[in-house]
Amino acid sequence: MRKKFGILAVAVALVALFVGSAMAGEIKIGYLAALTGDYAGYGQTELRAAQLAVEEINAKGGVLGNKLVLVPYDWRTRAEDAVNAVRRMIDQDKVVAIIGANASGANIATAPIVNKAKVPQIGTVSTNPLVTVDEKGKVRPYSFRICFTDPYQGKVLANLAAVKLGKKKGAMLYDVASDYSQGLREFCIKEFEKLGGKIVADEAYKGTDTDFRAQLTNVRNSGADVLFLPGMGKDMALIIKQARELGMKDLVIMGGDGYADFMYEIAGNALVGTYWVNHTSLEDPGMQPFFKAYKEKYKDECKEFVNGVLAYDSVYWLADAIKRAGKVDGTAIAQALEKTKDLKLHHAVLSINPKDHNPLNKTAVILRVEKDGKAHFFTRIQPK
Amino acid sequence: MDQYLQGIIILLCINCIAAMGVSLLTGFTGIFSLGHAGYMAVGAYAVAILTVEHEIPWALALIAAGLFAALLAFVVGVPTLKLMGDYYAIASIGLGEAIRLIIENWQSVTRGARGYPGIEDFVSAPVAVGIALLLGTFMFFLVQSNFGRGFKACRDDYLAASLLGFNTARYRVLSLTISGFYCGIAGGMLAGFMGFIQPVMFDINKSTELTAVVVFGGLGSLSGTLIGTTVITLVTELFRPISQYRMLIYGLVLVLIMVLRPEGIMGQRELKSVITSMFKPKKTSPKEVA
Repeated sequence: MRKKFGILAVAVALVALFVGSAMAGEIKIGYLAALTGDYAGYGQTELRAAQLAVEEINAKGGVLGNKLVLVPYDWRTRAEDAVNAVRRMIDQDKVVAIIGANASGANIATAPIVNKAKVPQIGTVSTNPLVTVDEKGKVRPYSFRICFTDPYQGKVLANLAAVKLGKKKGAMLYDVASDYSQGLREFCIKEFEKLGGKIVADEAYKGTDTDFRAQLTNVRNSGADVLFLPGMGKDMALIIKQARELGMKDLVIMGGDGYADFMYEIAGNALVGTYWVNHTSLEDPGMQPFFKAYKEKYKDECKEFVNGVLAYDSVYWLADAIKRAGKVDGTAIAQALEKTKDLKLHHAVLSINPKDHNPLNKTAVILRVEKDGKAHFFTRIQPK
Repeated sequence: MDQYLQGIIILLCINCIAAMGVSLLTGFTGIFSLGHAGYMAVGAYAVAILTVEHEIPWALALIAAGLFAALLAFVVGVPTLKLMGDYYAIASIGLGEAIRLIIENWQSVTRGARGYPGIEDFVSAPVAVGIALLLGTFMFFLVQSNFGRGFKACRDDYLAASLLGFNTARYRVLSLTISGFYCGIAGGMLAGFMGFIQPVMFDINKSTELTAVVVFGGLGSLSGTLIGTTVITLVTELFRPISQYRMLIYGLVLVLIMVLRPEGIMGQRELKSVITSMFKPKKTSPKEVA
């Protein structure tokens, strides 16, 4: 009897041990971020935010009884590096899903790989339409994004200028070397003209430029009443500073989600009164716990907050999809991501359009920089 | 073999082909170029446009890509190679950037900065290795031939070579043309490997990297170039798990080699001569007779 009881006890212990180890299993998630190169500042913020989300989810018991593990790789702001990073994640690290990259080019280059391997990938700030659909417009089954697209953001910018602010003479100053900038410019012009506006100056610069006075002089001479800046933080800050120095005090200046808080350090008070399309605002009550936790953990403000917010919520979205899938399987997770409907994330309520894997009618937040140097909530726009 | 390892092999072959092209010009002919990514861009976009728009088979498109890049190198080389030393290096930077900017702005043909998607992924590991071996063999025989001696003469003493009757201008242009061909092929293969290209892939950083591996391996050593390319490609991959710090290691490796061996890993020697010298019995001096 005693012997039987001993065997039973050992069996129970083994089962408990097995169940325990299964509960403490790992779900590996790849994170593709530019930690070096041109977009390093944005990539580092994303990775920090994602790590924070993973820690919070694991502290609450993980997903399906397993803890999430982030496998981050740097892609050096170079698409060929992103390709190798993704291949390594899939073949050697056996990740079940990938978040990133923080640029469209890398996502487009890695899309065929993840779709062939049946590993879902979520682009954080990848706004090019080709991230989630191929050249023929066919949806890529395993490619998703949490941000809005260039066409959508372009529509928002045009609506803000032509409808909300009543400006009809637009000038465009874009980065010829940036896919993001070119895309946003193209769609903004299209929508602005549809709304009765006219582009009176269309000027270009190269990402490495620091002097924009020649282009800005043309803008001033064109008589434009609104200047669109579809660029990234540093360039836009320098442009705004130089525009104000050239006496363009009344010119309304606006841009997309390339805005970052550090721009005030470059442009100073010249930034006051500028408008920016965004996914959230620093005052958003839903985001306060994140900003607070980020500051506590990293002893730093989340300056590239768009990237931080979208990376943070991408992890929560993926965790929710894995829960709904009920198993750790790429195809099931992709289907769950596709079926996302009215999911309450921290920065927005997310629904996914199954036809193109883009967020459905995601409301854009318009920010306006005030005298304190911070971008504050101005209005919401949801173009049809 | 998994996709990841195949990817590394393919990228290594592409880098080796491009580096061989730069090595011929910089290492063997003594012309420093910092704009060879431009020729890679020409090759990449030629393959993209020919295969996607005109549905030309990839093998023909790849050969055409090499020839386009070679033609451009020839056309550019005739006037610019009159510049000597640092002046050509500066001009080459301008040329490389000019090519990239044309691609960025010529949107109706190249689709601009947003990139060119939908390219057939024709470059498998066997294809890449095959092309690399073929071009490597050709380059090996080229540098050992009379042409090779002509290139080296231009490098070692341009004026003396001219006085000895070498048509130095012809050798310099020929070197640049062949070099352009190799980079064009490498660019075309990169397009076929990635399936998507953007002008930013061919910026000055890429050109600098190509020149760096040639100097790192040893100017005037083909095997040095291949070893240098392999080391640099593998260093960035092996240390991938330590994220951004791998670029620190990449930099340290470059600096250490330049400090410890300023002439590069192989100097001007080839692997064959190094191996044979290792196994050659040392000559002993005859004993003195009292």
